[in-house]
Amino acid sequence: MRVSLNWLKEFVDINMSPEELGRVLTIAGFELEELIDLRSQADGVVVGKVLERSQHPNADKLSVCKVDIGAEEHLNNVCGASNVRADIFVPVATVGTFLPAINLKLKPTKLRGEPSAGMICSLTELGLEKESEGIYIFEEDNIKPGDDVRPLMGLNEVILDLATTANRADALSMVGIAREVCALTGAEMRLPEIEEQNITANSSLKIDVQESEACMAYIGTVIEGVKVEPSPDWLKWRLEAAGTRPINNVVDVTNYVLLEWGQPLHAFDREKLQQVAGNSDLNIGVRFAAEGEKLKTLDEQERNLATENLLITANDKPVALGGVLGGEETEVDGNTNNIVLEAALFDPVAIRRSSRAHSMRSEASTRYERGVNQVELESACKRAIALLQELAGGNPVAQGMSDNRVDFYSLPAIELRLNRINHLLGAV
Amino acid sequence: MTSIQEQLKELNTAAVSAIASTDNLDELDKLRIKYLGKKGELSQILRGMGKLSPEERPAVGSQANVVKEEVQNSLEQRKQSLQQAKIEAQIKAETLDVTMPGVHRPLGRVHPLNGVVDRVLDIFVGLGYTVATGPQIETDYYNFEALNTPPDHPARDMQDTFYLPGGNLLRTHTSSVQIRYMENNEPPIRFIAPGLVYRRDTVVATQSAVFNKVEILAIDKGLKFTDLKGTIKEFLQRMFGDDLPVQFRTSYFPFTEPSAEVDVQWKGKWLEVMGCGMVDPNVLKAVGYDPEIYTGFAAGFGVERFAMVLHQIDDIRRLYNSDLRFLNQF
Repeated sequence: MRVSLNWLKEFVDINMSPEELGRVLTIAGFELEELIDLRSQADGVVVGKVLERSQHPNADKLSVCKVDIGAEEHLNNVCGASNVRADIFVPVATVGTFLPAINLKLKPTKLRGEPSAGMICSLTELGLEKESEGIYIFEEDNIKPGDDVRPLMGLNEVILDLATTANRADALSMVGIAREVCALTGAEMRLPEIEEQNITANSSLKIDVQESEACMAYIGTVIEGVKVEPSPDWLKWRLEAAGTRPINNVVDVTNYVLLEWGQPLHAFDREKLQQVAGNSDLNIGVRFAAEGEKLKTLDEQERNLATENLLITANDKPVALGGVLGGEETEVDGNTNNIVLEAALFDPVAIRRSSRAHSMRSEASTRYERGVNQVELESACKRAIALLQELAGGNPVAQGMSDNRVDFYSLPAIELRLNRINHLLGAV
Repeated sequence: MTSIQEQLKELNTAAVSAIASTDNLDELDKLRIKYLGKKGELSQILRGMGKLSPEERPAVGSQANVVKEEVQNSLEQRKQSLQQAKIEAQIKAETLDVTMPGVHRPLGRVHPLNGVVDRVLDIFVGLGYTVATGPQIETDYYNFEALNTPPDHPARDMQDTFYLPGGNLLRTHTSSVQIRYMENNEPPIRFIAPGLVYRRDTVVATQSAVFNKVEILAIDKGLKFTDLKGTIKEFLQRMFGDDLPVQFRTSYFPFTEPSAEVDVQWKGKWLEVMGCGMVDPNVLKAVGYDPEIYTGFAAGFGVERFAMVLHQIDDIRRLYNSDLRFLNQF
């Protein structure tokens, strides 16, 4: 689990260095495999304003620029990018800066006879892209020359890559790791605020789980009027820090909540579901696949289903491999307006067998196999709905639920005997 | 000259020439019988003496003696020279150079892996442990189920397994020996089990699909985690040296609770060397021990890992290559 320190600090105050935190977590059973300090990718890179741009006297493809970097003297800089022009804000690596992404330490130099100090950077040079076309140009307007670029580019971040043992399903989420940090340091936990939502049920969405042992709970929510677009930077940066590729705001919200709460979610395109179902009233079901059934999954593979495969169905037509992977036919895309959001609990063994049947693992199946916190299903679902309202302008209009969870308060208590602990651990 | 005298002369010439051309003792003996034997040619000739006049007899007699003596002499000489030649040939054939160096047989050395196992066994046997072994082809029960890892348990992913036709498998750890040993023995138990284990891993510089493990198990009344810590520290310090810092880190194995990984500080870095923990009550129940009465601890480690650290070996594959240039260094 890749843990963004900035994200973690939303839930818990941390008064130690990333190295110390990594050490504390390592001893507690979350081995720090790698400490990734994004700050070092642009240490010494500042905002610069290109004041003037002129053609290099001795080279067709080079420009000579005057750049204000907030210092008394303006830089004279030779730039090879075709998109450089006057009056733009750009990241400038100052003299003395080391750029690990391209393994370069900047020194004053001369290019074709023109002196050049510092370098106007592309995203590649800051380790943010594999290949870039030209330099990066800031679009923000409230920035000034000399500002550290790192908070503007998601590089003010330290990532702890932690190994999680098979018994700690709870720690496959930011909230779970934050709880662990609280337990280890005595700090207080701040959970994200979740507002009450009143979404009524209606005939447009019915949940009818046939396999209630394999699917303990299923919440389906119709959210209308979503505007699918790229996510805001902060959301993209957090997903990237966690090692997840940003796709669009709807998919990103489901992944964000998965990472935050450890609760897998899935968004279907409502109209596509209706098309598959052949009916505008959706009846979402959960059952095992029948012999010979097929489903094209999100990874564009046509899969011959096995009877161990747990299916999400729309009016009995397969639309997703429950708890493992969504179906391509009902995928959210740029034209999606309305969605059905799935928040469900699946049985670990059922998901394990289903994902084994295709040697396929996903972020979702990994969590379901180990067990998802049954008590926080509603919190995660509400959190996702709230984020979809905020970031995609969605409007939740209907919700259906099937709930076969055992009442937790009726479960027998587990007695922990202090003398047994002492007997087993010995005097410390 | 009588005809007998002529015959004697002919015999003499023929015999001497036949003897001279013989190169073998057996044939020489046959020639002796042929010429001088009781029914030999000489006797045949002398039978004709009776027909001679008394005047002729002395001359023929003396000539016969001369012939006989001459043939005998030449037989004797030939015999000696043949015997001499035979001895010389034999001496030549059997020449022995006592100053020549003896035949060299290179001395074997202890393989670095066996060397580590020997040291480990020495230490634990010194601590009162018995050596135990178990089969490498195991049943699912001994490898997983009795070790608190039922089917569909997520911990089965911790080790990718080679399954054999018929449902058996190649053991993924020596922990299977725990169950077999406990089934056949009553507590208190202290044993150490070295052996090969198999995992479906790609062979790279740091891991192999077949490798050596050593497992220890102690079951008794009142065994505590502190006993485990003491045992492990004692072992590691005997293995790596007295001043070695050792740390225990929380971890997870299905068959122990609590579980820990053990690191040693080696050349300035923490290095993971073994896993251990208090035996899970479910494991004790599986072999019919009462976990309320007995507690115990188990630990296991890879022999290759130890050998690589102790001998600063950069690639695990060197240990399996049987390259004498490498093995001769130990």
